[in-house]
Amino acid sequence: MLLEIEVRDLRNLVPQRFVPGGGRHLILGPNGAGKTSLLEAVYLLATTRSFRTPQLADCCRHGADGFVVRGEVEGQWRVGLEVAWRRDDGSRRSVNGKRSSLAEHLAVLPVLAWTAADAEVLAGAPAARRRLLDRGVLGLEPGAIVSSARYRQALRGKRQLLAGTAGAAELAAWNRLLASSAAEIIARRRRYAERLQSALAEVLEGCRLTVPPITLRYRPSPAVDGGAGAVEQALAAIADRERRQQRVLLGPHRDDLEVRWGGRDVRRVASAGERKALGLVLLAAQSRLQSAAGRPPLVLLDDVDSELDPDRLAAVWPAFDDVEQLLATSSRPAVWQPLAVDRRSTCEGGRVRPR
Amino acid sequence: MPDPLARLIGELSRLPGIGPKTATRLAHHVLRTPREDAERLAGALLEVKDKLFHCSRCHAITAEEPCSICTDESRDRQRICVVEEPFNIAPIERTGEYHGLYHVLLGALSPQRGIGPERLTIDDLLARLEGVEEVILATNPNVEGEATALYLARLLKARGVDVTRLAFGMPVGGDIEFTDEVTLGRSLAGRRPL
Repeated sequence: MLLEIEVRDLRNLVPQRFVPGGGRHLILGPNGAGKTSLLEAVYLLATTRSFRTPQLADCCRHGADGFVVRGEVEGQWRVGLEVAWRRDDGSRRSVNGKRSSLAEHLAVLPVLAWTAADAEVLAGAPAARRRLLDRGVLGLEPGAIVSSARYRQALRGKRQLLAGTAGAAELAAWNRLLASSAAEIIARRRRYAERLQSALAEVLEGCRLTVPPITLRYRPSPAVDGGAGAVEQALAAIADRERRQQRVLLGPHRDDLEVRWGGRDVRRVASAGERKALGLVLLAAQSRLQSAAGRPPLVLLDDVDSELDPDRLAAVWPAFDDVEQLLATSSRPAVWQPLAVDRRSTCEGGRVRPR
Repeated sequence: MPDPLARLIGELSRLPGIGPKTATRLAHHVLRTPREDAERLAGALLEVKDKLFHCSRCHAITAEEPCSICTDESRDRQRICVVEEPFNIAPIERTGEYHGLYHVLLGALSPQRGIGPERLTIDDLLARLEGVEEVILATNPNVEGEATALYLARLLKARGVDVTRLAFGMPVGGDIEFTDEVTLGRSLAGRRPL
């Protein structure tokens, strides 16, 4: 649980210390008041990345030389986290004041976030759904970051190889290497998709959202149900085609998670509001899985009620009843009047104050 | 900045692992040291270039042709340990566990850096296999080293040689508690009966 966070020179936020408290904390405020920036600061502290931009320079207050986000987290032990960025020195992260590996840092404060970019999860290209699977996998098994990094590195090598004049034997060696990390990624994603399906059913049972039967079907690439050997065989079978076309045609970087809404592709049949509601329920299911694994996440919901009418929001909200710590933002105080939250704050002019 | 100093900094920063800041510090250090020290350094630099070369058999660094390991009759000639770089030999020698021959690839497969099999000394390795029973692949456990080992394994097995790979696992004297999951996973996969 995040005990407190301190920000300096981040976006339009006034330097401040914020104590989120446990349970569901709603932050209300007009557009541009700094609500999203506060959530971004929490996300940055937990993951060392921003959910709004790949460039940390964009997070720096206009005219400042750098920013600092610092926080105290209570899990098994109390741990201090810090992420800082300076124009002349780049980014720096530390756990208890010491430089840390990314895996170490990520293990301290697990977060799950819903932001504007996540509208793509159920409507857009497969990449967003792969991210959903991977953040779930990482939440349960932080060590999985190593096999995905290894896969990406080997994939870069193979792409370069195909761009040149790759010999068949050399390509076979890279395929064998890729196959071992690909098989690990596929096994993890498959396991996770199955668990997510049952967690989703539980969450739907506990909230009042009425939706047709939802099925999650993991579509691995290659579509094999075996270990590294089976993946390697599938890669070998299209090696000639890959060499001709000079591109990588198979591998978990092309996986998808198919979401069926009453037996049909959710992208074609659900409205934007229905997709948003389902997206939030999926996030609640992810949170439930992580909590069950002993790593309860801090849930961040930015502009949580956009696209949702008051009835649908009221139907979805109970999905987050048992979340250990949640920060949600909204610019519509009226729709929250009848809903139960544990804490309310107001954000104005870059400062958050308890209501 | 005076030209000779800029030149020295420029040359030093071309060395691997040395950036402009370290190069500047080293150059100023050289400037402050007595002339004899600088001469010794310059002499040592020239001497390695004049007197040392790659052994024509195993491609290790040597002052005599062939190198002392290749000519040592007491070594086990049925085993060849394949490494990426000449400096990988010394640590293996220090273990005292290995008494066979070596072969230096002079790199590892790396499509990103344009290094294909033809840039490595693979043909010379294949030409040395007569009477060899086992080839130990001791390339680095990173992506390039692994790809190189997998590539070589296929070639070598086709020639009827036993191919082995260095085991991956926990450091001796280490704690399970502080071992990362990948290393621990590899240690489990590579466990052996007692």
